[in-house]
Amino acid sequence: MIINPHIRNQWLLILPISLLLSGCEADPAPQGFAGLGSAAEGFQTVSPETLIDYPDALGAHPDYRIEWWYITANLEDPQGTPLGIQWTLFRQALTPGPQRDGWANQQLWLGHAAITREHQHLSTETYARGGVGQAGVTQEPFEAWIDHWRLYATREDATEFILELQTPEFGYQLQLQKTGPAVLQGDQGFSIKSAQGQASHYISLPFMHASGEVRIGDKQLEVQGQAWLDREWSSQPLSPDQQGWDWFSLHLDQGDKLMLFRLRHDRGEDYYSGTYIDAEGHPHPLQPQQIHMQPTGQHSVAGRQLPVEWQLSVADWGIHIQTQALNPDAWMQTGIAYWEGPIRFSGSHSGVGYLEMTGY
Amino acid sequence: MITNLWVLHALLSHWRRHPLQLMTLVLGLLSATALWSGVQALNQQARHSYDQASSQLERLNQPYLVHQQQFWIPQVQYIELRRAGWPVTPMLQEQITLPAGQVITLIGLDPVTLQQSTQQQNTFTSTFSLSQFLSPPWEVWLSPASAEQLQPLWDNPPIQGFPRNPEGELPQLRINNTLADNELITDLSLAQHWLQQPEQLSHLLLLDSHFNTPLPESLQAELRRIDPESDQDIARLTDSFHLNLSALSLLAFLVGLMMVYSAVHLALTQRLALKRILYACGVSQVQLLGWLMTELLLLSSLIAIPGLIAGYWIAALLLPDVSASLAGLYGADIPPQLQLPGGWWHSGLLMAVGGTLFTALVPLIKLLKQQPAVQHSNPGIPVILNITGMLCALAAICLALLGDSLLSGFMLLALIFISAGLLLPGLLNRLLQWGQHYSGSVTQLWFWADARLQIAPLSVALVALLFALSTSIGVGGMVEGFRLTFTGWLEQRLAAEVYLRAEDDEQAEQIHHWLTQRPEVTAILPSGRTDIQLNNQPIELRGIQPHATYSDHWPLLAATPNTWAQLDEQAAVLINEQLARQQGWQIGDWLHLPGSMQSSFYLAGIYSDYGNPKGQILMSLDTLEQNWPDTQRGSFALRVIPKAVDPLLHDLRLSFNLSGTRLLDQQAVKDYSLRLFERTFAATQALNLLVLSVAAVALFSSLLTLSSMRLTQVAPVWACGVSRRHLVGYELLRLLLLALLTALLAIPLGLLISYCLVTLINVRAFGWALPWQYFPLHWILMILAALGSALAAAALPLIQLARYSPTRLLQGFRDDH
Repeated sequence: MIINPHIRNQWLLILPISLLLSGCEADPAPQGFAGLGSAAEGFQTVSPETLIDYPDALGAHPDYRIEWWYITANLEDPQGTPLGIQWTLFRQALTPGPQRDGWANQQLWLGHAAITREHQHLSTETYARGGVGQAGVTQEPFEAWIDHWRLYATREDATEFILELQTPEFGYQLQLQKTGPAVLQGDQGFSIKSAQGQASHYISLPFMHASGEVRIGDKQLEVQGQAWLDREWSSQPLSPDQQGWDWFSLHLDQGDKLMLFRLRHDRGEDYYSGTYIDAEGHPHPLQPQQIHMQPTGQHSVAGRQLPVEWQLSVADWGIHIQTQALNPDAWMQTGIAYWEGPIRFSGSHSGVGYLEMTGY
Repeated sequence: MITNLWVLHALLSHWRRHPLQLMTLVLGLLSATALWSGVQALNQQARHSYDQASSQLERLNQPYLVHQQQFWIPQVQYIELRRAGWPVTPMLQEQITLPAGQVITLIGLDPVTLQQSTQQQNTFTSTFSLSQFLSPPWEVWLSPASAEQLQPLWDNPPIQGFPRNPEGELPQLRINNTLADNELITDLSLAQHWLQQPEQLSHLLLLDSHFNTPLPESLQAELRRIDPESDQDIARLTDSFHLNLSALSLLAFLVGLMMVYSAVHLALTQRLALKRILYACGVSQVQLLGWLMTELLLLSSLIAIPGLIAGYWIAALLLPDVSASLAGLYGADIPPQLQLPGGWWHSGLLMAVGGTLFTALVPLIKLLKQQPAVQHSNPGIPVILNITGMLCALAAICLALLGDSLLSGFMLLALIFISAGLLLPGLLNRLLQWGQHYSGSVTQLWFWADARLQIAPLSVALVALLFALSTSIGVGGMVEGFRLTFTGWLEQRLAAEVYLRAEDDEQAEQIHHWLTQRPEVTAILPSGRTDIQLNNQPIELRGIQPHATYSDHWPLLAATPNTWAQLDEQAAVLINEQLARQQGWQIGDWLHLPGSMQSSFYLAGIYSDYGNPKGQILMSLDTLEQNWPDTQRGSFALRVIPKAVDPLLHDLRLSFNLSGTRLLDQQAVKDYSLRLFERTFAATQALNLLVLSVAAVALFSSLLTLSSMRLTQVAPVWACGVSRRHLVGYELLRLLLLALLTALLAIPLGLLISYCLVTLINVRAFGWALPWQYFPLHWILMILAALGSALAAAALPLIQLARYSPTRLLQGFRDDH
């Protein structure tokens, strides 16, 4: 009957889809990719004097504005078919200052995950707020979680982990075993990101053996391979005019590792950095002029052109390689979208690794 | 190339010499494009917001979890579910009483988990800042009306408690007019603080309705899943409303195109001489055709743009009415600002250009075949028109007998219009022939014969007039009839003096007890409701306490001899007309209703229920409660001694804190319903008026067209000794005669259309039939409108004629060979 006015809650109308990492204000001032170049007054700043050690570095650093726990793995099923997984937990503080309790807590958490095969790439994400237990990181025993996504240590010395994730489309449960030392990137874990001095604290576990099960749809696969864990925290890791990066983590077949990145500036020269890690786990920081990174092949994905093939050279270490994406369509369909996927390479050395390209 | 440009120049120079003709072309195309694109804009805006609403409603309408034993859900249970992979978002919804006594609903939510699906675009606003929403001093989102209510509290806050946050500051007020009144939306942290419910929630909304995993064992005894009714398919419900608007705008488009036709037709005819010159200059037929098309393309695209702007303007003007009626009829929310997709501009442009080219097709072919487009001697109406008209009428009859969908109803209307349009010239000719037959003098004979001669060139304009008049009669009759029926029905149906709705069962009981103590209350009639699904259709079940108020006043369309007694004693039911038509149920049927304890219900009556998009079943409150224990109670209709109504309302408000929407007197309910009704048809009536004005302009443009060709016909009569003054008189009379005849023919056509609307379109679109009523006063108005517009249209050409110099009239002979 017409006299019954429809009284309905309309509050869902107010909800935008905002970008958590960027704090979602449409600020005309440049902030770098995903707001990582935003100024960070009131937060703890990174310094070369800070001592970083493992496993303490696994814990959370809530006084810094942003940090992440990041795992990639290059895996193979029993037939030798390659596949890659990515699992990342981000934390960002909306405001500096002492941690508020409950829902008033200023921390936001964001999980990204993906699985990539030659002709398939699935990605997902989830959000949570700090202070209530939906997401967080504990130090002893180490556990990093958001909803039912978990990375946790099964040994007190943090040499073995379980990585878990289940979504309707895919999932995995992997045992990760640390087979070499933790590696401090940059200058004793102080990793410079721009000529203006932006930097982060950065430590990696590049030597990890991974094994376990991967599920895609209803299909279960036994897998094993190599994994790489990165821990990084900062309050302003990028300079405001840095719009994105191209980052490589490479497992060379000889057992040594290589991390390289290029930060692209709006204006002026790009910034290069990297570390060559020998098979014993000794890091050899690379100077910008030692690194040569040249895109050699473009691919159109999600309406953009991305350099999915690269020529990489570190002449001082005799490295001249050509990389290729396992799946050039490894686009992360997430709130902040980027390209991330497994790669393989050949040339002076061969092997596998991961490439992440943002800001395209 | 240079030659080509000269050809275009020569063609275009025609318009410079005939600015009025250009104006009619511009007006025709402008109004066609404007009306069509305006209504399309309204429809698209509405559809767009249904799509958005449905994705949001999908969530609001999502299943949710509540606690089995208590109102509050401990927050740890929410975390437990999230950590088990459940896509739930926490909510805290509770009413709070403001110091001034108003009750307002406080909604606390977590935007971070609520926005789970990031594939969606930001639908709402760029002014929303997540960090501000989540950070001190926090934000409170509310409607403009609520903001007005709360502003004094913000200006003059108490020392502690609401609206101060835990840190003693005042949160920011954020006003948004898409929000419901009496609701405050804020972050969970502030909501928990204000309600003093730390770590407590009230609902957990499931973000994925297909998530069917059983609850974790530890929570199975604690939480309960509630699946909502799935009756929110607004787009489906409102289809008929949009189809109505579209049909009307298509008609307007056609009437506008008729104007374009007469202008193009005339322009091409007048350029016969130019064509000969151009041929003589060596321009080929293909070239000429190419340049004529170019000219039309150029003109139509130039005019289409202001047409689209005008369309946008019309849409913006009508939008408040349309959104109000959609909200009233279907509960659909259409934001009051127009946001149009790019496709709207393209399709509007295409429609305008395509329409012009299509309209110009026949005149172009005629021009190229070198047939003079205006027939000088033979006024005959092509037989093919009559035959096609007859065939269309035949098809309409078949469709009327066989069709049963809403679309076939509109096709029937279209066929009626087409056949009427095709048959009109022949009919007019026949009528005039009849007049000619009875004419006494030579002048009279000439008068009738000459009127017949004018039918062919004026036919397009007359058909436009016929369409506009008959639409006005048909639609106007339907709306007016509906208004009468609806008001009468409201009078009967709203017999109780006061209607009230309690907030919960407890309050309902208190109110009931309170009312029994009041001597001025002569009857307390409680009612209950619940919803069920029947063949995937949402059905509302209503329970009432049988009372003379119903049996004396409730209007029934069909009933058994003792309907109300059966309702009371035999658990019989009544249904509304919509449901009866939808299910094909009749009095005496036994109905099987899902979820009931009783196996079947006797159908004892059918009642009219205008304005309700849903099917409804009425039964006694006892029957309803026995069969559906989850019935919501707490609504009351009260019979009160009339002069005691106001004091009672006052006391009720004071004692129970009942808000405006929970307590209404009869007059308020009637006013509300009638206001809604008026708004529902405001857009229809506005469009109707626009169509009529377009038709008047069409008539005007045709007369202009005609007057320039009349010289050869008028000149001999003048030469025979009829003065110019008399000639003007005859011309006027003839035109008025044609307009009058057309208006007279529009009456039966309008009645036919109105009949189709009330007995076919309304039934198929809304599920209710209306009595077919007619309003002769309206016809007279329409006849006067027709004569008026004919008079206005004739004025300029006739003044021209009266001022023609004898030399000019003599030219008529020169041209006549």
